[in-house]
Amino acid sequence: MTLGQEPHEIYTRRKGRNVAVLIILLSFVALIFAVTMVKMQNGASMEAFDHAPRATLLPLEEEN
Amino acid sequence: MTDMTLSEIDKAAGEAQVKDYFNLLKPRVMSLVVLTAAVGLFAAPGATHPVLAFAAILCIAVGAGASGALNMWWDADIDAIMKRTVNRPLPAGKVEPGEALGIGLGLSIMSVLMLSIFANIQAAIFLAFTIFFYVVIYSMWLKRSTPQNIVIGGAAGAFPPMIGWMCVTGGVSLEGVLMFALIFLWTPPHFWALAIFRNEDYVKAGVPMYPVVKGDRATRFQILAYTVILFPVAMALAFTEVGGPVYFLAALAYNARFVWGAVAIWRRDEATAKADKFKTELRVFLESIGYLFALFIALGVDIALRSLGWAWSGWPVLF
Repeated sequence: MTLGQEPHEIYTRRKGRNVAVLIILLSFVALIFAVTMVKMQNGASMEAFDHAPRATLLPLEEEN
Repeated sequence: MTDMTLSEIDKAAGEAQVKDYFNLLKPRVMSLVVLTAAVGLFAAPGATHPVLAFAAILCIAVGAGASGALNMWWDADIDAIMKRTVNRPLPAGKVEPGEALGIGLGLSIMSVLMLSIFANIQAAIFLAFTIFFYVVIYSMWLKRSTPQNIVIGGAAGAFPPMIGWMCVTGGVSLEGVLMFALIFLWTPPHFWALAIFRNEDYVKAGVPMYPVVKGDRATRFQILAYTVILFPVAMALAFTEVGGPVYFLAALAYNARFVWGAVAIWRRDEATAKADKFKTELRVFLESIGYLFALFIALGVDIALRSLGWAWSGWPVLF
């Protein structure tokens, strides 16, 4: 499509699908961002690829 | 081939819309998976951040949707024969088989990988196994080879609450197993009630459902047998750490109704059923959908009450 031309009919027809893909991708980005923020809250006790807190990294509790 | 020719072909074929791709994921099955997985997740001991819980349930739902797409890809030939499935996106010509396969495989891989990051590796492996079980063990192997197809294959639909539980604990427990058993034992009477009044469809498609192979009388007895076995299993869940009075009352009422419906089915014969257009079988089938939703919602209410500190401290925990 060149400047000034009407968009090809196929773009109009597939607009719904393209908008849906855009929404899904943006939602996915937002989800990854939100999960990252939550996992970062675990701070120093994070370990390995899933950033889950590990018992081995938690501070030892002193026995009475 | 020009661009115009392509678009004309698309038009003639009835180009897929967003809803066609959505229907490919079997949204009604997904809604049940979301509910059961969520109850399994929130029932598990330990706190989960709401964002992580949402992300994990989403992954399980997408995994279920992906298996639905792969199932439709594999079963497109028989779906085109049966009245109940002829309007699915593939037999209706809305979605190409290659697209369904691509979407199914892509979403399967994505859901498993993301669940391993959002929750833990154990839950992700379990989700991958569930997708494998539904697509390969049930759809490709059992569905067309044995009348026990939906009995064994039903396990795939029963795993989500265990996956939800595993997202929090990383392991399995008696409560998770009982939730699994509840759905597992519910599946045969649910599908066989449908199979009785859709028998002609299954005969035409060559799917060896129980009524097709063993006959109408034997199926009616099996429906009753499974609902009777289901009753104590469903009640047992009330007396675990996750159960409570709300679930107990719901389980009592809904199981009594399910068994009552199964007795009504058992007392009828094929001729009577055909005369009133399978009125009772259809009613019990529809009630069985409500049964599972109601029991898991009731369990969710008990879990919510407990987390708010409103649980009845005298409630007996026997298991």
